[in-house]
Formats: sequence, C-alpha cells, structure tokens
Amino acid sequence: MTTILSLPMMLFVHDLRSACRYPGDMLAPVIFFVMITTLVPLGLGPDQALLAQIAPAIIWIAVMLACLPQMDRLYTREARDGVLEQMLVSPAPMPMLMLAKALAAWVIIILPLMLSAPILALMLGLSFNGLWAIGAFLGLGGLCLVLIGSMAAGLTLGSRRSGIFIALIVLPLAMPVLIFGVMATTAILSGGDAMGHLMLLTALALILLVLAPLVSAAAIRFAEE
Amino acid sequence: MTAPRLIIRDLTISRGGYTLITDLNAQLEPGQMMLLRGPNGCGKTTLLRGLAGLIPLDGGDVMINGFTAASDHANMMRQLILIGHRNANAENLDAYHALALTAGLAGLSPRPDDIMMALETLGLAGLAARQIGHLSAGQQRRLALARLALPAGESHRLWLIDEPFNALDDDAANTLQHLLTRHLAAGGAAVISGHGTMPLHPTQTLYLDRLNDQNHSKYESERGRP
Repeated sequence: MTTILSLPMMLFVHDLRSACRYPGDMLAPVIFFVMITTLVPLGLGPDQALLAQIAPAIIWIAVMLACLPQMDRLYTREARDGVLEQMLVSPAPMPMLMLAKALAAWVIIILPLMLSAPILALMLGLSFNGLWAIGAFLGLGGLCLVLIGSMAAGLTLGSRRSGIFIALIVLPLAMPVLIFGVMATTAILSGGDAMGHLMLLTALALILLVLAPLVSAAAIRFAEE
Repeated sequence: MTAPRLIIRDLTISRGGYTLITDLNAQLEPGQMMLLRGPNGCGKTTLLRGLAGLIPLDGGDVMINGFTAASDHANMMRQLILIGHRNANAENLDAYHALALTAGLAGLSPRPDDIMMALETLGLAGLAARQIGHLSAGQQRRLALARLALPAGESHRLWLIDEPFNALDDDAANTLQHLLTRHLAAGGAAVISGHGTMPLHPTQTLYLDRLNDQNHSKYESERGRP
C-alpha cells in the first residue's frame, strides 16, 4: 500500500525540484502565451468591444499552443538517461507514476499560465468581474491538456518527428476542452450560467485522470522494450 | 534461505525477428554470481532486461525469489536491483537527489545519511551537490553503482548489472568488487554482463554465443533422430 502512494509522491516532488533548477524552462510557455495574446490585438486593431468578445477564445487557444512544445519534452529526458527504465522496474504501479508525472507537469506548465491569464485578460479589455473564473477554468482545462499531452508523449516516444505527431494527436483530442472551456468562460463573463459547461469539462478531466496514465504507461512500456 | 534466488526455465527471447536466447535453463542459489559473456550483440543486455521483466518473453519463465513478473509484478520488482547500461541519473538533479530518486523508485527508501554514506563509499562524497551534467562518465557510472552501496537488509535482492566496469577506474572497480563480495556473503545473488577481463570470481559463466551454437547443434541432432 505504501509504495502505491509514496513512490508516486516522491517522483512528483523530484519532478518539481528538477523543474525549479531551471526556472527559465518554466517561464518559456508564459512568455509564448503573452506573445500570442499580444499579437491578436495588434492584428485586429483597437476595437475594444470586438477584443473583449473574442478574448476568452484567444486566451484558451494561446494556452493550448503554449503548452504544446512542452508536451514533446515530457518523457524524452527520462527516456534518454534511463529513469523511465527504472520506473518500469519499480514496485510502484507504472500508471500511478505516470499520474504523478502528469500532475507535476500541471504544476510546472499550467499553473504559471493560469496565474498569468487574468492579467492578459485585463489587457484584452475584459472586466474585473470574471477574472478569477478565467484562471480557475484554465486550471481545469489545463489538467485535461496535460493528461492528453502525456498520452501523446508516451505514444510518440522514440519517434523521430515526435513534435509534429504530438500536435496532431493533442489538438483534435483537445477540441472538446477548448469548446467547453471557452463557453464556460464566456458564460461567466456575460453573467450567465456556466454550470453545464463546467460539469462537462470536469467529467472530461475525470475520465482523462483514469485513462491517460493507463495509456501512457502501456505506451512507455512498449517503447522501452 | 535455501530457496534459489533466480530460476530461469526454458527461456526464449527474440528481438527484431532474431532469436537471441533459446531454451535457456539456469539457477542461482544465495551467494552465487552469474557472469554473462559473449561478443557484442549476442544478447547479454537483452537477457538482463528479460530477467528484469522489461522485455516480453517468447517462452519459459523467470522466477526471482519465487516471484514472476506475470503473476506478481510489484513483489518481483522488490526482489531485484537493475543497473542498466544507461545510468538512470536524472540529468536535471544533483548527485544526491539523483541517487535518492533511483533508490526511491527501487523501493529502497533510504534515509539522508544512508545516501551520503553510499556516495562516500563510491568516492563521491564531495560531489553530492554537483549537477549530473558536470560529472564525468566514470563519476556518473559510480553514482549509478552507489545504489548497491545503500544499507544492507536488502541482501535478498538479485543484482542485475549491465557491464558494471565500463568507464570505471581501478579504485571504483575495487569498490564494486568489495560490494559484490559483501552482497554475496550476505546471501545475495548477482547476474553481471561484460566482456574483457573482469576482476570477478563468478560461480557460473554463461557464454551466450556458445550457448546459441549448442542450441543449434541440439536442434540439428534432434532433427537427425528417427
């Protein structure tokens, strides 16, 4: 029983520690995110009303694009240095270790985006009222994105052009996340009811929490054969 | 203590269409060491990884302290320590935390001073805070082997080590030899691959190329029988 929880916990802490050693790597997606959200108003022109209307969509698409390049690197380092092999010969169940890595990736990749999103939303002309919701929904949607990304990273491990394959796997699977995320955010901002969209988003996250670790564990076991 | 550490029964493993190991039978008792020898590409690493349950077996089974990977994966993994040809030192961490990670994944749960002691045994005490990328190849290999220097009480574990003497200097080779002797004396067992001269006194030596030749001739003689 103890190894089932304690080893994944340990791996989670080690992943965070390893990320903290290179804060620049954590900052890169945030800068990318800021860049994309800045480019849109530059291209559209200074129409405040239009910007505020499409702001939720811009933010969600920018978040998706900003985390894509990170997915490519989810397991490559561990595959190279042999840590994945040690994970496979660990007494802890591989799916639990994969879940720990996905949750660590959420903290490393999504959390900074989540915290910077409300600031960018202000910049795009959104009112103060719904700012908390933008961050919170992104956190939930980001969890889905990271889990989908972990499956894609496992499936493409060892392929030469994994970057483009990961995008091809993640983006179609992430469409429901984008749709429900944007709809929930828009609903909150316009004072409507976001409950329905939010429940669907939560259901998606729960399904992925179970499914994604199983898929990536199986994929990695196969890749490491 | 009398139960065999490792039983290999009719083991067959193939990789990429080639059968590397055919109907291999072997057994290791507590205190015994098996050396895998043979030219490059003969299947030493494959056999080690097969013993660790990393490769699907085409036939036969591997039992470590009575556990097989198929029936009880978690418990079988508690019976072994694998040191592959990749050192498994996490690139982003320092030596101390990299060792803590691999030891932790193996389910060893060492205390901080156990880790420092293991680093010291392998002559890495001064490098605990050094980034993995800044260690030499030999130092990285030492760090991988430091897992073996973590406290005893784990002597029931079967050590599976792939070419341990690669990149090691005489000093580290002596340390490894010492660790192996202590492990075997405590009733442990080890399977070690390698080529060239090695300062070891194995109980058994498996020549993988000869083994395959034997099998081929065995098949021929069987076919020749009426």
